Amino acid sequence: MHSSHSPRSSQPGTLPGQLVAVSLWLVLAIEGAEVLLRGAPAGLPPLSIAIGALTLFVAAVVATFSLRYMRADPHQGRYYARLGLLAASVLAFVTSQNLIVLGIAWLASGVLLAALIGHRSGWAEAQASARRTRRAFLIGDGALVAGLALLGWQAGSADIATVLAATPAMPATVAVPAALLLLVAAAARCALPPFSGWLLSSMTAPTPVSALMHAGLVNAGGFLLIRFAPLFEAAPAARLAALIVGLVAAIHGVGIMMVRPDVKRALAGSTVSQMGFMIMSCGLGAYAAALWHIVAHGLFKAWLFLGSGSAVGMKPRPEGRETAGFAIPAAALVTLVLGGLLVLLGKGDATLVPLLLGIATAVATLAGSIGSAAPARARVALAGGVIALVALHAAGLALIHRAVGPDAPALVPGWALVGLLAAFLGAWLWQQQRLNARRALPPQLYVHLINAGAFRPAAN
Amino acid sequence: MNMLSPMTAVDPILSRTEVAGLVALAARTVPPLWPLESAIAVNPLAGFEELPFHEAVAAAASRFGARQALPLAQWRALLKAGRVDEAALRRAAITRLGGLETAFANAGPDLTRVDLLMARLMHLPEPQVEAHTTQPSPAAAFLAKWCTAFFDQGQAASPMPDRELGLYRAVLALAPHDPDFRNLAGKAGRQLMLAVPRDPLEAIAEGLVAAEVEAGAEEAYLARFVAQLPGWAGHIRWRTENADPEYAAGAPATMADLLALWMLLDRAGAVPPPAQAAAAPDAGADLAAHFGLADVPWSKAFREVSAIEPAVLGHIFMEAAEINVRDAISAHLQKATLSPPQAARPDAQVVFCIDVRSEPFRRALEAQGNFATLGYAGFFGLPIALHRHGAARRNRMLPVLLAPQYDVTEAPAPGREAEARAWADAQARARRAAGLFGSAKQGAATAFATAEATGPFAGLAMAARTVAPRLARRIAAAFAPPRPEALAPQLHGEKPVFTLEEKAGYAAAMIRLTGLPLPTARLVVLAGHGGCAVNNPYAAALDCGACGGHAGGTNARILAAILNEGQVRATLLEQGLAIAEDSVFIAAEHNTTTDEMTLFDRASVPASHAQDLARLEAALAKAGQANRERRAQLLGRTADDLLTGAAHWGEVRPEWGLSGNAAFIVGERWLTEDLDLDGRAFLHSYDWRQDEDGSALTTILTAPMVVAQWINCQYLFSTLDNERYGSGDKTTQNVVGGIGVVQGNGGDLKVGLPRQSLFHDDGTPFHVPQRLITFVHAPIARVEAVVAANDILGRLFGKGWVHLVVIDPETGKARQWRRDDELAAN
Repeated sequence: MHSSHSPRSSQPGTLPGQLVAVSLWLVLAIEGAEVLLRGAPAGLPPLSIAIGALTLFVAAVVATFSLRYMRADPHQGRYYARLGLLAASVLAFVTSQNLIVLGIAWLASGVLLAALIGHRSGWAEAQASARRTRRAFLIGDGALVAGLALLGWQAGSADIATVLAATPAMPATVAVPAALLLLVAAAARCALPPFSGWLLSSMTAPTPVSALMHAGLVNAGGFLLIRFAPLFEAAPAARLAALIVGLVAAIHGVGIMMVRPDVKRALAGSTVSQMGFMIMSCGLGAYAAALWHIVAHGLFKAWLFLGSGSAVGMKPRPEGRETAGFAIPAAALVTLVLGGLLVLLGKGDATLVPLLLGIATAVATLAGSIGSAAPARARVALAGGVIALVALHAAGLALIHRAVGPDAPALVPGWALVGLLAAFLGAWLWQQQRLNARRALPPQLYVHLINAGAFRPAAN
Repeated sequence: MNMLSPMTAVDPILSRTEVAGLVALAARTVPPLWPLESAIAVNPLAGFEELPFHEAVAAAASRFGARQALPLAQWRALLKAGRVDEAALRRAAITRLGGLETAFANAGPDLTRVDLLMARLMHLPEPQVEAHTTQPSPAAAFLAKWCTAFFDQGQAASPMPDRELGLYRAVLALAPHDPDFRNLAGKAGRQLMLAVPRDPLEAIAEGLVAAEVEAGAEEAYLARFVAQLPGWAGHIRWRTENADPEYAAGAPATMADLLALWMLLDRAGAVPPPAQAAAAPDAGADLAAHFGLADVPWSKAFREVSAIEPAVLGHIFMEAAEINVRDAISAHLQKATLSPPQAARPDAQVVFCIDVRSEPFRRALEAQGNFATLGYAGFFGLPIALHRHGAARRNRMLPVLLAPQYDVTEAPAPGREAEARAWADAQARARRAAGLFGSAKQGAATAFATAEATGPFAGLAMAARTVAPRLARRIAAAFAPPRPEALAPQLHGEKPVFTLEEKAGYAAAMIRLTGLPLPTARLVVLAGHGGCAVNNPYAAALDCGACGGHAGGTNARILAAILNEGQVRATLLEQGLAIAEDSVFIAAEHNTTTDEMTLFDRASVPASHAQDLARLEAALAKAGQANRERRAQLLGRTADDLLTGAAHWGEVRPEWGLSGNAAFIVGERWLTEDLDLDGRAFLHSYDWRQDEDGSALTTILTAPMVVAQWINCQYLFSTLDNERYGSGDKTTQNVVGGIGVVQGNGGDLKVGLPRQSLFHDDGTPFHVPQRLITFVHAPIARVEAVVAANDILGRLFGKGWVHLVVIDPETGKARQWRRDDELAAN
């Protein structure tokens, strides 16, 4: 009776993995310390620092997680090389001050991501998913290159600061097409309709890749819109387009999430929705809210993906009826009235919608924690937890706001903002009322949502 | 394909009852598939057990599109690593060639048949015959999509509409809206969909006529469809045959539903005909080249060897691995049986589960002092279902061969109510918070702020769980503390669970089946076991299979409590079973991932036994350390890293589980005490002298051994073809419906075990795929009588699913059970 012994190591993972993981933590520590002690390098906006730090952090966690998770993968050298390069390419384009560098790094990140989606090389479905991603990015990246070229040509410089300074003076015939091209590039990366398919069928990627994708890569679209904010401010039509496509994605994504019976694609539906909301905020000009959303959502989604192995366990009844009864209509009504009042008082700025949706969430969750059947002590503890979260959230948002600076001038009149708010609240009421009544969605809508982004071998 | 127009009305020939019978027969193509939360090992080829092993493997391979054997390259790697040896391979090859005479007959210039065969086994390139497509057909993908939606158990907030109509009708209701259906079935399919009967059995009856299936061929016709989605079909079998009815409430489904859908697609021409496996190329030219022959010799012997199917080569390797294990154990048992030891009263007796992971721990414990260990099924013979405090559904804590007879409730232990209440409060708070979070993150207006508000915490949690998992677990325990011991199974509520006779019966069963030496020691520990894995869909696969895929501590607590009752002991004494008066029974749970042993209800141990207990606990700790060290070597990690891995959310291989299982030994412990079985053997204690009528042996062979065979076959086939019979790579799995996993974006529910549980990091198998070898220490005549009286044993041993070796206690001779084909050959 003999069994085989593996060579022993005191640390999990292979050498390439350890190198990449350690390097990422080191870069994060060194760069972090430098920014904290000496301040940001000249010309580098807080936007770049925030997204750069987020990407590095999530990449470092993902690489360390992978040391165990990917321990039996036959192609670890390739895997970690791509992971490291992917993080580097995202860092390169978010910190780039030059259009050409930005374009090249952006393209590289797309190629690397598609390769990681197809990491399991012998698996036809993985290869098809990778191809689908490449096709979506081909359109998006083409638009990016065209948009950047247009801007560079018009401004006569590849320096981003110079280009941004030139945008207010650009004629609408240049600014609007350029901004729309960038919006297409952003929508492809953010997986907004009609580009959602690649993200929704990317579950052939190993779990840690999905975590990094949903936390680091999809944010690129938001980065682009905020980085080129002056351009968009010079092209209100593009902002309006961003608002509309974002709104559609936000609602559509929630629908996809609601019907998915598998954990990973439910998370992907949620990402489509969250990215839609973020792009919508960019369109409104609520840059600080959008950036805060990018960072917090990135952490949130990476955490959920890495923990997706915990979803085993059959629940006696579906979730979703935790805040029953009057709480939701009341929260919606309060929020809407508050929104109307703020607009009447002339405070209807770009952040109105994100802010008020935050308030609706806080009110509904507080009502849910206080109005539950749990023992009094538990209810108090829960409510305390919710209040602490609200406070932290507000603090984070305020911090980002101070760093990022003022929002864009209003895009739409106050009543339109209230209308937008009403759209979200209405969708929410309808959704919650359906869930509470345990009523299924209309068949046509249900089939549409469950098929969204479906992987169809025939189509490839 | 049918030649009738799909619209032609057809009159069914078979009645609904007849169709139902055919469906039930066809359903047996796949075994029931348990949900991962209570994972149970099953033989994926259970439906083929009527056939001899090799024929079954071939038949299943063509049904499921699977491989018939581990690739030769893998076997050669195992040979190189010393897990199979060459001498055994040669012996297996000679046997396969029909014995020494034919094997050594001349087959070419200076060549014998065995030379040729060994060359094919060891050196020749592997013939590429099996075109392995992992891509499901579009029809299978369509049905898998709707099965996934239909069977969801609470993952989707908004479930599939019309589920109450049953799977068949619910899909019919949605299909008109589904472009996938239109692409698949076309116009014909849409017309058919309106015309087919709404009753699945009637639809099948009609479909059989439409497809012009000949009488007698219906079962095979239906079985082909069952085999196309073995995961979802297996799930249906579990739901209809093994689950409590509440799991199917509001969403009924039978195999007929699934088959009716398959037949609808088939009638619409959407199901491709089964692919024919290509014949293996002849190895003649390669063989000739290998031996430097200019031409391929035309001798009969040469042609015979060169024509041997590639799958047979793999089987010869498997037989060699079996010879290795059989010879090593058999030789030892023959020697040991001739020198039985003098029995002395040990300081403690510890009864473990028969699980292969108990064996090395038992050896480590025995090395610590005068401790005797025994093996018994880990559910301790108690056919119970447990209602956990605060859980919505009951857990079946027994082997799946049995149905629960008793419902046991968990309640605070007397005097520990406050502790239990504090836990229940924390539990309620955590559940409530999770519920609020789940609801808020799905709300159309609340999803966004929820992500923002929880994001920073998620970042902290993520870093902590990745970099400092043990610390993170301690912090998490402050918010959601682990289930305390203060919650105990309640036997004496308003209505006692067991009568006195029943309690004495279960106690006596353990003594009789294990031959527990009486009088008992001052301490008798009943040790269940469970694994420990975080964020791992396969966590329950590490738990006790005899307890229905749960940790077995509760069953141990119940039997220990029973055996501590004075009345029970008095009743046992009347039956001649004397529990020593100074014996105290203690329940325990062996954590197989960390090798820590938890003792339950220590406070109830009398002061008189405190010192005994302290000594035992010290010995258990040392044994745990030693075994952890041993297991760490097998995992290629440090012992301390096993503790980290048990808490790490990224760890895909917290332990090797039952990988390596190869033998099932029925006999007293002294027979194997000096043999290092390396965690590869199930050990069931048995004393043939206390079992004159063979009833204990019958129970052991027909219950625990059958479960061991299921486990063995699951590991065997999951290794042999990890894509088909196993669940593939863990890193791309996706949990569906809370039930199980699919690969990537969807498809069939995966069966079996993941790659990481069976293969080393470098891709060579850790688990050697080989059949179970059962060793029984008992008079040959008695074993023969037991096998003759039980069809299942005749089948398992006779058809080569399990090898049987009988060690005769009187002569010390080992006799191997002859398979049916061997008997027929004589």
